[in-house]
Amino acid sequence: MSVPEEHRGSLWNVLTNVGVAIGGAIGLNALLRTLRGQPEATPLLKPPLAGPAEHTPREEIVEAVVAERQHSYLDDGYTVRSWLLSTDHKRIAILYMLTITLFFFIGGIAATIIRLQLVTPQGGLVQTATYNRMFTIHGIIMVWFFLIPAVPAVLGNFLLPLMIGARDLAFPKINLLSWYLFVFGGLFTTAAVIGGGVDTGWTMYAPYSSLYSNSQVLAAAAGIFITGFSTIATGVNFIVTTHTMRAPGLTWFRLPLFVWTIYATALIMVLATPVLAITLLLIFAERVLGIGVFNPAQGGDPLLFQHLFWFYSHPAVYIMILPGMGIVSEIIPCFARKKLFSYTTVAIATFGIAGIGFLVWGHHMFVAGESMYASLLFSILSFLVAIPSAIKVFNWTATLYKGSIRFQTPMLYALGFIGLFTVGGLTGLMLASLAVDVSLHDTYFVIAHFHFIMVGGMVMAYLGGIHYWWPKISGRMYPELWGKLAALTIFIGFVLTFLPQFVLGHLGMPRRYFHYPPEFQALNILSTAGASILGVGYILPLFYLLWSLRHGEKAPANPWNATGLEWQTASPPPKHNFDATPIVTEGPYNYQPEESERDNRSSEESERDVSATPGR
Amino acid sequence: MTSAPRLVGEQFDDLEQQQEACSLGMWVFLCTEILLFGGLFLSYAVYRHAYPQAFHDASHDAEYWIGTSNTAVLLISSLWMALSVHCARTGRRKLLLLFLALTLIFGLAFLGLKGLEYYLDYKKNEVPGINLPVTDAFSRQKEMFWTLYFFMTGLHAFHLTIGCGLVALILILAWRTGYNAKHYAPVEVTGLYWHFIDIVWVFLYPLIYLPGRH
Amino acid sequence: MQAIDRNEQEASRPEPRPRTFILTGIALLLLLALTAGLSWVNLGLFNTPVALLIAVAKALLIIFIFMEVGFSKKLIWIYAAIGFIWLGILFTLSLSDFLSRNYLHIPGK
Repeated sequence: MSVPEEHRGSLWNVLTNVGVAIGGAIGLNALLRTLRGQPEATPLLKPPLAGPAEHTPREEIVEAVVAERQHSYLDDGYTVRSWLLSTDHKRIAILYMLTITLFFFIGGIAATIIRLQLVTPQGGLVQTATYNRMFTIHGIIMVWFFLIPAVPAVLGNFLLPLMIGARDLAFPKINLLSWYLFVFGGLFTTAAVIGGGVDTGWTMYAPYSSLYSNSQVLAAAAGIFITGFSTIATGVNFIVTTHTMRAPGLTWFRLPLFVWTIYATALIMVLATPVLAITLLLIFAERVLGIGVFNPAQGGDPLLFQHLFWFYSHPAVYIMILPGMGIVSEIIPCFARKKLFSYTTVAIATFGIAGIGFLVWGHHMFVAGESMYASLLFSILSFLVAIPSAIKVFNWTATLYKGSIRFQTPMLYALGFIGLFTVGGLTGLMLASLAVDVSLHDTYFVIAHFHFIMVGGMVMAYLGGIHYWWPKISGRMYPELWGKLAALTIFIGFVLTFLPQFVLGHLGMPRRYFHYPPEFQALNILSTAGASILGVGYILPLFYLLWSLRHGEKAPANPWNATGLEWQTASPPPKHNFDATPIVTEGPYNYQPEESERDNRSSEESERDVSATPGR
Repeated sequence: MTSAPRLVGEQFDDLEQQQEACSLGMWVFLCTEILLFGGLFLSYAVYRHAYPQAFHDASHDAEYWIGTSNTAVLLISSLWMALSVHCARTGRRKLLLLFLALTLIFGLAFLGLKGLEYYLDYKKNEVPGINLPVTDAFSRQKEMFWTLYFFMTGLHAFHLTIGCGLVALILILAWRTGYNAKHYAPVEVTGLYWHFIDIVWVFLYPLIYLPGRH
Repeated sequence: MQAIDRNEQEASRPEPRPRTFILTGIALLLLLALTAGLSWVNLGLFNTPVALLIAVAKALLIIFIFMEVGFSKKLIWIYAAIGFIWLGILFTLSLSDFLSRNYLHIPGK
């Protein structure tokens, strides 16, 4: 199990280490150390990655010294313990990345089974009860254990301190605690939804979930409850960090938009999650003690559950999409080599979305017995969310105009995001119309709308962000050709999967149904075919990103020639991010299209070799 | 300031920054606490609006005198807590220890009275799901009051128990090391949490004990 | 951010004196006596609003003096308010449903 010298400190090491740890073999720690003959406290003595020894120009010696002094965060201990007890935000981000990837594939397997089941009108692959459990697994795991933590807990954790020039988050220990809560809650819920199964759907509507469902609702909800604390801890940490830890000169309107969106997301996490927590507590009490807060037979009102649930869950979809918008706002200016069009409006629109997002939850209950006056109010408010969202889309598009666009992998994802998010957003407006919703409610139209925002928007943005910051995170470049191929595969697979579902929903196919009339079969087969392409698209990055950890080119500090403090430090960054606290003197996204026009021409000969320019 | 390097987390520049971060962190956390209790207060509002008479009658059976004394106990404990923070900031160690001890004693007194109240409720057959008789629709509605009563006061008592634990911890730390104008964040943060618990009770009191008096 | 700025703010910020705390404590107990006493009087429609108003007064005293928001930076004011504002959103929009049900005495309208 010995690791070649050159791969020490690469993410490859991380994977072997954490992989072992997740297997529950923490006791292997000492063994690993012995096998490697590497005591825990010696990474500083690691020989620097110096060039050929014969002719060493002065710069190279200096570089070697620098490399030794600011050894990367990946070199800060190689043991399982040094990862599992690390309070370094970058290491915790990696831990999150591994965990949510695992959850993503669990949720993905459930989705695969759903799609396979729906190939024929009569189903036949799984039992009806199993089918209910499958869509519940898919919903619960994807929403709480992938979508919500994906961008904030992985990229937000990694990048927030780097982007604001801080050494770490304000509360590093709480950050680590929040990962443990997440894993603990996640294991709890996974055990419940896979072991016993839950058949309520991810929404867990009472009183079905509290009184009638004969499945593991209690355990699944307990896991979600615990994970809620992890979300809250992360949110508090991000808010405090953004307020108190910014580098000198980094005023609010000089912050990268990713920081703005992470801040707005953290606000939603802090303000919405507790309401879910109390709702789940009430569900516990109903199930265990037989009280009837949501049970009509006992004088309760089921709509109260829905109000409380959607007060959390509607803003929660903004927890999922807002950081994705932040990523796109970073990628678009960088690959269009142009200043972001109207930075200020995008920043304010972020808060507009976060704020208005809290006022619209009643649109989930138009046909559930909500008062029609309240429905009217919620419908109008829902239309208002479109305004800040549209502002963002227009600003991204305007940024592209006359830019010097390069279609690298992150840019492909970002462009995909803009298109798919627009479709998802506009169909959301259809659903927010009172009359239209009566016929579309609980059909595949809703499913398609939601997945256009979440998969077409958020997952696209997440993958774009992973590719964009992969050199920073791992210190290696990913293979560009494979990256582009995977991005295109995902786009094609996605559209093929979910576009037919709009039609299905419009024709009246209800969601969560096991059987369907034969005339829907063609569209369902199309959708399943798309899902299989999508599946291939998701597995591709898993392989080539892992491959790049060993064989990818070494990444320079600023491979994209991008602005932003995170590109000023080494790739991967040293443990405390910066050697000296950076001082910020200008706003973000100072890209010059004319300059990059030149860069582009010169780099056409050697693709991807824009690395020579040091960070600004 | 000789102890400063040990006290400042390595992510912070100085104690002021750390102090500011801790205090802001607690305030942000209290926002989540407000909304946690908020869900229950909303449930209370919805059902009181739906069943005004039942809530009035059930509230009449609540232990008014214990509730009122408990409010006084908790308000006074908050005063001790505020004085503790002041003493920590001005570095008066003995007074700090005294006021923290008083805070703790009053907090425990509240929990004791609350326990007594629960016992009396039990004796009077008012615990839903255990001995509250449910015979008709009206008693169902009264049951809703008692359900919410136990849920809200229970969650509040749970928070207060954590608060007492924190105060005890701070008391030990203050006894061992002491706090000063530069370093008193733990006391301040505990104080914020304590006052928040007090505020929750300030709203629970008129909703539970007062509707049924007249 | 800059330590100097913070020190200046720190210095310019007035600190509450113990006397303020004690007076606040007494005021809180008086308000308690008021609300407890008023509960024996039937004010009709105003029973609950008056009781809640007194509760709000007590809460404000605790927030501004005991929790020292009155002596803190604007950022703390914002975060002291934001939880309550969001609680207001939860209440207003939820109750817009519960209170407007059955206006027309047709189920669901």
